[in-house]
Amino acid sequence: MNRAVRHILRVLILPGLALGFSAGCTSLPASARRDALYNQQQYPEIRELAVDDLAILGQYDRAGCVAGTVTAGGQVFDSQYYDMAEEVRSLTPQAYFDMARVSLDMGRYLDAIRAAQNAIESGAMFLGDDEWVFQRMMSLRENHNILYKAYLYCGDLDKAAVHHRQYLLMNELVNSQAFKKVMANSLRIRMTSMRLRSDYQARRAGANRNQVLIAAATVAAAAAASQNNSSFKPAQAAQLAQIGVMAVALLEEYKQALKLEHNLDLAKLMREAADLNRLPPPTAEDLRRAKMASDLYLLARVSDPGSALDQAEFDDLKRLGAGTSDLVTLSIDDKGRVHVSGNLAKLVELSRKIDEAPLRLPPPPEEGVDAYLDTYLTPGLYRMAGLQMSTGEMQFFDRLVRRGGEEFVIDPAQAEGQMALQGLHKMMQKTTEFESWIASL
Amino acid sequence: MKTRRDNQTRAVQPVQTDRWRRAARTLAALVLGWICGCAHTQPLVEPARFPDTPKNYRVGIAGLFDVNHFDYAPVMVDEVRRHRVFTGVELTPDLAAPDCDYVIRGHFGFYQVETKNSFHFTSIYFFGLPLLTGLPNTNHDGGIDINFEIYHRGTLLKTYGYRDVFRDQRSYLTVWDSTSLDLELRRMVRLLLRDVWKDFFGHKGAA
Repeated sequence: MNRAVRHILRVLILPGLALGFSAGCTSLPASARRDALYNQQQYPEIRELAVDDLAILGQYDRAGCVAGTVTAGGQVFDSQYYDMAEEVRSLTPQAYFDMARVSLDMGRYLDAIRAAQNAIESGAMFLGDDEWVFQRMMSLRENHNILYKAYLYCGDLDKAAVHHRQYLLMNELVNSQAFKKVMANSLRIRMTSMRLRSDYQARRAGANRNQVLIAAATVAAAAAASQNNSSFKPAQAAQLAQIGVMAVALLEEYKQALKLEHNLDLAKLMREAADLNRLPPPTAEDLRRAKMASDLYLLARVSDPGSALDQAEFDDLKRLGAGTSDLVTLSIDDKGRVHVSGNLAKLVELSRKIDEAPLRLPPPPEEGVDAYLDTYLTPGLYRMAGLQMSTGEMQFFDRLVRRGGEEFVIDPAQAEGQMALQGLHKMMQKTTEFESWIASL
Repeated sequence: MKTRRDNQTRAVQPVQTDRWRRAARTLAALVLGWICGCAHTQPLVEPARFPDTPKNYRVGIAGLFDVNHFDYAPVMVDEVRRHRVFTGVELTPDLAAPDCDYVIRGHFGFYQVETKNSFHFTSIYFFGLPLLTGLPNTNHDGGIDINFEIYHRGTLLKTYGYRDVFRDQRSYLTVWDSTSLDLELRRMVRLLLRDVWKDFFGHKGAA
């Protein structure tokens, strides 16, 4: 029976699958695959695919010159077509961006910062030409947003404010009427290129078929057909070249509009936004806006005031937070195992309360918001919020505490041991931040 | 008495079952993909994800503009009303509308283009005869980049951005409509409602 099923699979279903794939029934463009995975929160797969894309760097020039065909994500991109060249040029910046947003969601803020910086740098390299201004602007906007959030939860409010300002600037610009013309232009050229490519491929297939038929009849006719066939290419190339010229010419026109409407030089603006080491320092207003745009402030605004921490709870937290730096001590033995001794139960309990605190801030007042921001939304609070324990980590430590005992041994060679170490590190770091935050209130 | 082979079979069985299950799932997805003929990167949020009772907030829609600055706000108003997430939804030109708790404004770029797929190109070599089978030979490739801004009393609180890329498969046998801008916008609005709900009211103690 099993053999019969296997036979049916081999004879009917697998060719069916092949036919399905050849018809392109289920596939989306390669660039969209990671987006779909991101929605399903399949982070390891995204990292795997992004790393695959980053490995194609060697296929084209490091200086940002894209020529010929590039293979990535199981797809071949012919860069002579505008839409495919667009995808090829976006491969590396997009792969870094995907790594950055995945790292941000997983709470790996330093990785997110590094990846977003790489995305901006590679964007300057591959999307530096005028015709890619739309893609580059969108990429800059998204990456500055990631940098803002990552720096915020690292507690570096100055850098967070700097990137938040860049994000707002890009956001405002992208939504301006002048830039929408750039966007419309980019979309129009993309659509034209896709349709032309499809037409060209259909005509080429027809010509090839005729050529094969004629070649089967006479060699001389085949030579003639070959000459006819080759006439497609210059025509196609001319058409594509025209599109490129049109793109740049229209962009020049829109850049003038941007200059008039917003008094902005687009090229200068993007150059400055990509020069991460020379971004102007934040003003007090930038810091204020960065804090007010954070999730914690937003949550404090919309939460039920009844659920916020009251004075008695703050006092209770102060009592709990005092002198907690030595709740547990760590030591490493000869075999590399980590020995944890001390009051783990109290540390876990405190950690749970610390996780709750940023989500239960008192509502901000209508007047005198600045004092509220200075008191509650400190770098320490953001660092605490950035070190929230995952449900899996909390369950793990709850189990450990229930088991009892004064000393635990963690073997970092095991996956569970790594999770335990990571969780412990988070809890200890969080406790230190909490101690200074609660003392300042 | 159990033999060694029995034990081996039992040990191997779950792995095989998993493999079959995975294969069945892939096959089902493929068949569905073929029948429905359309794939999106962003999911269509189920109405069940929204609350049963609406939140007591008034929300204003200050516009949903495309690249030509045409306003599609009525589509958004209709979709937000349909899911009854807020008690009041209205069109407003003012980002600081005093009678609205929050005002939403959106900007998007949308494209859709018809291209032929590899099945079509292959069919050309066979004088187009395979096309008679009715297998999809045309792709409607498209995408949308949309950005929503949430304002509170005129101050920008938060932005939400989504990018959906879709591909619609069609042949001369396809009877259902292709993905349209209206449907795409509704899909994006649902995503916004899901995320606004999660961020604003999804926490313990949210009002």
